[in-house]
Amino acid sequence: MGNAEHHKERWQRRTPDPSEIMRVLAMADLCNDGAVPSATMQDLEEAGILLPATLPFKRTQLSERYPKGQARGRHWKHLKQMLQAENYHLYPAEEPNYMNIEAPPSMYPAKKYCDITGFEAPYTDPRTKLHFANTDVFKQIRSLPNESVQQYLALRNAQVVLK
Amino acid sequence: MPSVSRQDDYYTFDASRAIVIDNGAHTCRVGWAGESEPRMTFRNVLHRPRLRPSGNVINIVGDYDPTLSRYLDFTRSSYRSAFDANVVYQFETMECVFDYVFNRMGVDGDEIEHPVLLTECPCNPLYSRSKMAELLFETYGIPSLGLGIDGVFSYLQNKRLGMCGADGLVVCSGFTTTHSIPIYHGEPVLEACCRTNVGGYHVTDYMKRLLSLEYPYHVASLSWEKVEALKIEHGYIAEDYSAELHLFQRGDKLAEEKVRIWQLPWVPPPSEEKPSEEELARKAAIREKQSQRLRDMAAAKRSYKIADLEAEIQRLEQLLDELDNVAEAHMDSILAGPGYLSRREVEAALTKATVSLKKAKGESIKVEKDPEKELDSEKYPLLDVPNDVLTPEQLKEKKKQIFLKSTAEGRVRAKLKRQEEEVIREQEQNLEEDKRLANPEQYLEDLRTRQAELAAKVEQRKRQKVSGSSSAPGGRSSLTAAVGGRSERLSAQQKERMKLLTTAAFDRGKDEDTFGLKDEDWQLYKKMGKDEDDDEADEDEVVLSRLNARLQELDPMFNPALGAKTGMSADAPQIRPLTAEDFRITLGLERFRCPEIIFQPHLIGIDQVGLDEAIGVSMRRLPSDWAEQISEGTVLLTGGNTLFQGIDKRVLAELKKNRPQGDRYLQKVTTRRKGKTGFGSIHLRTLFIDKLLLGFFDRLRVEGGSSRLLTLRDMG
Repeated sequence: MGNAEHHKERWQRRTPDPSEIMRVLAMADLCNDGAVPSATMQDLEEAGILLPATLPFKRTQLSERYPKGQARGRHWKHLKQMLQAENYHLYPAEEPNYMNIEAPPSMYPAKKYCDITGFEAPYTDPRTKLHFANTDVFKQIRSLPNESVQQYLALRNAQVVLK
Repeated sequence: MPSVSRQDDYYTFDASRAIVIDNGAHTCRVGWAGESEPRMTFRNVLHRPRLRPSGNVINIVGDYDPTLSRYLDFTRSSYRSAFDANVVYQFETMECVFDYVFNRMGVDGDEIEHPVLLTECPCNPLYSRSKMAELLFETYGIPSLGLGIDGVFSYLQNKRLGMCGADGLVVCSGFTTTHSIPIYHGEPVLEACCRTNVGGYHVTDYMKRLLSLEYPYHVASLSWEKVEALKIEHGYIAEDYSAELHLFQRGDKLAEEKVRIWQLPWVPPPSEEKPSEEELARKAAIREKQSQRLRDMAAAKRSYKIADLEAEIQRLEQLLDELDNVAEAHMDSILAGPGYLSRREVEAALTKATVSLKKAKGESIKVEKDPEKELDSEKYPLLDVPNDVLTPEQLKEKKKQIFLKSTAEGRVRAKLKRQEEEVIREQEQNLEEDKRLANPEQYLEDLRTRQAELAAKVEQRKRQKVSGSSSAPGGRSSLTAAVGGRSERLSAQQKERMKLLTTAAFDRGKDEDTFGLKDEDWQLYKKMGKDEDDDEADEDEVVLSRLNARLQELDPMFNPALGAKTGMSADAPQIRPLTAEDFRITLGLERFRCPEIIFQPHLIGIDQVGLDEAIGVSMRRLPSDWAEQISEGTVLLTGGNTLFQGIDKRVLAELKKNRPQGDRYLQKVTTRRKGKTGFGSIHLRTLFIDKLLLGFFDRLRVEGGSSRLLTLRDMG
């Protein structure tokens, strides 16, 4: 293990400065007569930004599995679909699974806060259903255009959604 | 986080040393087991910019590096994350990330000989877990894989360091979710785990939306990354939320100190220096010279014109004299010379010339109407002759003359009407002037009120027209499209029209629509009023602009934009000059309002318990004897979303409130600061699942089963 320690001490994490990257890419520029800043895939590889197309430790490469031009694996199941397919209802209910450990709604009634200013809101506007803290805010609310009203409601997920 | 270079000490580690990958939804940390710091830390996202010249798309893992924008085109790429909530679902992206990870760790041989320890979410769905194992085993060929919960590892590390006991509770608040997991004898009790779907993402998103609503002009500067930086630097958690709110509401001095102001870059427009006296004098002199020159030119022209007219008059007078002196027979020949047809014409020309001369000389004119009347019978000789006497050609001539006469008369009439209107307008203006002089203030007030009303009406109409079509998110678009793409609210006019049309269609009978067979049906359209809506709008706008102009000349303080002020309109900014203040974003309440959603998720409409209550829920789900033991332990707060100042005091206060009194409960609350990860613990806990697991997973797919329990319990 002595060797490893030794190496670890001497090891310094080296992050390439932007200048180093630019230097490599500037050389590429010179090759291209510096007309348009450009870098081929080769140059980027050298600069360490781009990974080589084939990696030696992989058994199948990315390009083989997802060939270009094909729909790039858009068949991935989203979380909702995954959970549906899991059929948790078939398993005993005491065992924890992704749906079981979900938190319940709060036992305390929700405190209302003003949608415009953020203070505590004892009042609610019956027309727009916005909570407000005092009469000045109320005046402001009544002069808002409809889009703003819906945006404020959307902050607390209470906007009107027409299907 | 700049891109990391390849580590060069890969081969110094022997084959039993594990590579630890903390696969978080926000950042991914990779390192060797046993070391206290991760080797690589990067945002766990992928983006795919294009190379500028060739247009090829390349994959880049990690944060956006602005220096690369010279060579890569980032416009069409957006971040892709492999995560959906806290579960990995997109394994292609995951594969790119793993490529990056292993490449940067220094692997360049044929195989990765080291075991891998990977973190996942609590109760990870089997599908995701098996796909992940498949990816790592089959594509990368790693010898063995371990899976565990990141929060639990952190707890064990802290336990090793002596901060927590064997029993306690870990609260791990990540990017998208917050978990509360009790630990009993060093093992997580997953039956009692509780997950709330609020995380760092929600806090940043809330802050971004709040600030965008409050500062609609600066929406462009409020990018996601910037808001995240603001949240990290300035967000804090209030120890008592309502007390803090009251502090701000009262406008306390303490509250003022807590307000942070962000000044956006702004350059004041170059101020116009008042031109100096010499400048003014010089400009005035130049203007004088120019006007003098113009006046000279005009005078010269006038004198030429006068000379010409005088000459013309003389000639005509001479002609007339000749005509007088000569006999009838010679008249035609004399007239034919200069081109006149009769004596009358000559006289008319003479009077015209004298009138123009008088005008040029600046004398007043008497309108002479008589010569015109006399000309009527001469110009239109055929008018009075009855029809039967004329030949067809002459009839045509007559018709032409009638037409000419009527048009000439029409012109005269129009001129008269215009003169009358001018007189009326002048009278009105005089009246207004008198009113103004009589009572200037009152007059101004009247004008202002009229202007305000009109402006409000016009604004309202404009808003109705615009908001109906552009207000809605996608759900409403179908409705507006159904109405024909116009505003949803039809005016009374249009409602009438629709009603008439629909009743016409349904009056006949339910079977057929026979509207239009009879001619009388179309009389329906006569009943409908014309679409007067636009005309009204135009009239109003004309009057409004006239009022605006008037007010602007009379009232030094008048500002047309003020009349139409609404609370939150995103129209162009005011006409008054912009100051530095307009470019300041103030973070007062938002500093502690946004992180508050961790404790009160209903602030953003998520109907779940907050962090403090979640602890209570977990405790309730535990078997009672365990609960007693755990309640004497410590609560560990880990995860990037718990790095707010003041969170530990808050949690302690909430726990004191909610737990029964006398409970020696959770005295210590320690928080994990970034850097002190659970990496060290992995070195100890090297229970790895062998390649056998691969076969196990295969069996799983066929049989199904609860092997997930096995994995977690082994890990501990």
